[in-house]
Amino acid sequence: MVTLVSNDNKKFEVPKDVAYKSVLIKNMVEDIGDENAEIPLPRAQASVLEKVIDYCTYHKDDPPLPAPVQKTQDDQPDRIRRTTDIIEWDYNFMNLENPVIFEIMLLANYLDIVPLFELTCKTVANKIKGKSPEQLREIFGIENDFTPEQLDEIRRENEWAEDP
Amino acid sequence: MSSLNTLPLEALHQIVSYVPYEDFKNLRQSCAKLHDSLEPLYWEGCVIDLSDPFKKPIRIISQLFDSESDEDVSDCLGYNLLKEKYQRVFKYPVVPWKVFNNPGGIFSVECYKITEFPDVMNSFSNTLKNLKLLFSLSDAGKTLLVSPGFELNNLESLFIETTNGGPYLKDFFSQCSKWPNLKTLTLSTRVILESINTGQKTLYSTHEEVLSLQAIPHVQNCRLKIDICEASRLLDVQKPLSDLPYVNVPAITTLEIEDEASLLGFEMLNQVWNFPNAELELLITRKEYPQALVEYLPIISQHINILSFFLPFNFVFSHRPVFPKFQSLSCLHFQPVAYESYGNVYLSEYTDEGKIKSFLEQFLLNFRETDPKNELETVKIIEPLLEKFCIDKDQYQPLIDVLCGLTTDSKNMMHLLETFSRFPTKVSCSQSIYSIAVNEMIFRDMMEIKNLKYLSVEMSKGFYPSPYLQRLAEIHTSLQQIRMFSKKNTTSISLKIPSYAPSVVGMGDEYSRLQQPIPLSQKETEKYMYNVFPDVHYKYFFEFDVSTNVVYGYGDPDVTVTVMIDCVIDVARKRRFLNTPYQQAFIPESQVSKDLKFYKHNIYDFDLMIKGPNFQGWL
Repeated sequence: MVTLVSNDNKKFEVPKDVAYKSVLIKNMVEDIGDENAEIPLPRAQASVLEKVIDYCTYHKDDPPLPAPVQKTQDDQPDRIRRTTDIIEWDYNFMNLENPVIFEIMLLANYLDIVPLFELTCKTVANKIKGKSPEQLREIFGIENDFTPEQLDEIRRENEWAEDP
Repeated sequence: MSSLNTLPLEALHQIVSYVPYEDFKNLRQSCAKLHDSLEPLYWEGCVIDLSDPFKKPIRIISQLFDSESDEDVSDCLGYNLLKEKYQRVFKYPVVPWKVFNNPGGIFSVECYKITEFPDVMNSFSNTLKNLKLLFSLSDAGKTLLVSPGFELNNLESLFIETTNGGPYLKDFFSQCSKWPNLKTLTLSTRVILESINTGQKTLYSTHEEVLSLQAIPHVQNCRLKIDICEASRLLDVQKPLSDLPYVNVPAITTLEIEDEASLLGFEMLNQVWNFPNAELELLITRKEYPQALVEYLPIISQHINILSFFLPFNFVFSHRPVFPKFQSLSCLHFQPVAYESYGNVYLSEYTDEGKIKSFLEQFLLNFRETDPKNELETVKIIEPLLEKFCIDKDQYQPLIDVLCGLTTDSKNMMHLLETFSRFPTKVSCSQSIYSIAVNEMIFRDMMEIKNLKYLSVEMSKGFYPSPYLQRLAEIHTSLQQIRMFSKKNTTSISLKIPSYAPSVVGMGDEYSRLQQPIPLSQKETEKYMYNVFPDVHYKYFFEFDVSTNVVYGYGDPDVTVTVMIDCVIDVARKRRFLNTPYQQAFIPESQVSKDLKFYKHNIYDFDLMIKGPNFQGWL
């Protein structure tokens, strides 16, 4: 078991194969050399860490991701990646308020849990797709803080770009 | 708690990598922080295309390409258009909007003076893909200054137009040779043929520009376009070209010359400039074109290697003495005019027009009455008539071949022309045969162009199964490819097939007995057309669409066969395209199986080597 300590000093006893879904934790445990040592995670809130552990527990038996292929200049361009390949459990798991999703995203990024990080990004991308700037502001609670000069610049930029 | 606009850049980048361009754009417009944060990513994969001054530059986000999911990109701006144009685009460096806030200005010399050019262009050093430079009259004789470090690393094509005497571009060209992606360079200039000072015709240009030519870098495609024109006045900086030493420009791969001065300018230019590696495209703009062609044949025949050959109607032209002298001609574009009903083409060396018409009318009458079933029977009709009308058999052999084809070679002529056997003598009928014969004579004489490599035959104006084109496809010694095509978006081929053509469009064995014509099935028509274009197995069809339409009216119904075609006959390599969809559809199965077995070891190579629009062989 690996003991994870959140920034509010809450401790989580986690099986090793679950904890090792995080590349960061795996490296830390190996660096310390003591599998029973507590791993402090100062950037992890307990409530968010709990969600992350839930995810890792469900996915503990998933095969590791293939290593990224080194691209060359002659390779084909990146494809727009799919956002529809989310399994039902993940979809339900991501049924959360936006701020929580962002926190999970940040923690997943910090703990280097790539599948979870991608899942949160896909979830946010799905919420962005097909929305106007006004709708996006409403969904994500964003304030329209453009100055008149910036709005003018955007207008000109779009004029130029939209008529190839 | 975190919000979208406070996420770190790496998270934002990850998110937008999942959204199409339009959503990405909307996200940037939601607030100032996101707008600025995503600025670099927004311009990543951006291509600025400045090749056309009348169009706004095109911006492309590379992520749009080759998406697995069409629905993700279907509503992206101009996606299909851009994809077609920039299919191979990978990623291009960032162009900050603040730098590139006046994209249209670069074309205008009013906006950027020649001295400002390097400063402006430095902004595009890692981005610009296509560049067009126009120089005005006031730039003549000036120098385009560039520093040794001036680089356009992404530039692929460069077009320079110096309409009225060019600037000194030697330093610029020296710099161009260091740009890694430059593949195409086009320089368009003008040379003046004038007799102002000396009373004798002399060529003028700025010496600075001529000296610049020698510094042109070696790139894959380097085209020099020279207009030779007669001007009313000269600039001070324009001097006689004869004052300069002989200029050798090996970098030019295509030399395009438009001569308004009856080839005199071209002849003079040829004495002072040399382009040892260039293919010549020569355009004569004198109104008396065909006569000029013959008049200046000694000059043309030495040099010309690309010729577009089109005979207007009611046009007298003598091609026969011309063709054998085109010993440098490697590419010939030809548009047959036969089988149009509006008029005829006459060849001046065939002066027996009246005799031929009488001969044809008599022949058709006899042909109809005797209804010959084989070539010998047809020849029996022809020979006495040739003698009667004193027609040189050798000279008119293609015409005789056409007539013999009425009964002999079903794949080439019979199906189309069998009609005449049951047709009363008509002027239009003999005209059609004569027009076909004219084309056949031209195709025959193409055999005399010994170095011809590429023949393109445009069939937008009409076509017919040609036995002499068949011969070219089979036995021409140097010919590598024949392309046969109809122009897209303009007109398709309309073969006016008379109602009495039973075997082509199935009008019935005897039209006179039928109340209604009976067209053949679409497939039968396609199969017939496929085999007569021409009948060789080393042809590859990119596009082939046949449709028939029967129009009833007064007299005989008109049957129009419309053919959209784009086909390459691989004369030189004799590749057998046996398992292409067209071959499988139109060749009898047993024959395909047999051939497939025989050529099994090569089949995959054959059919995978040419792929539609990516076909590179036609150059």
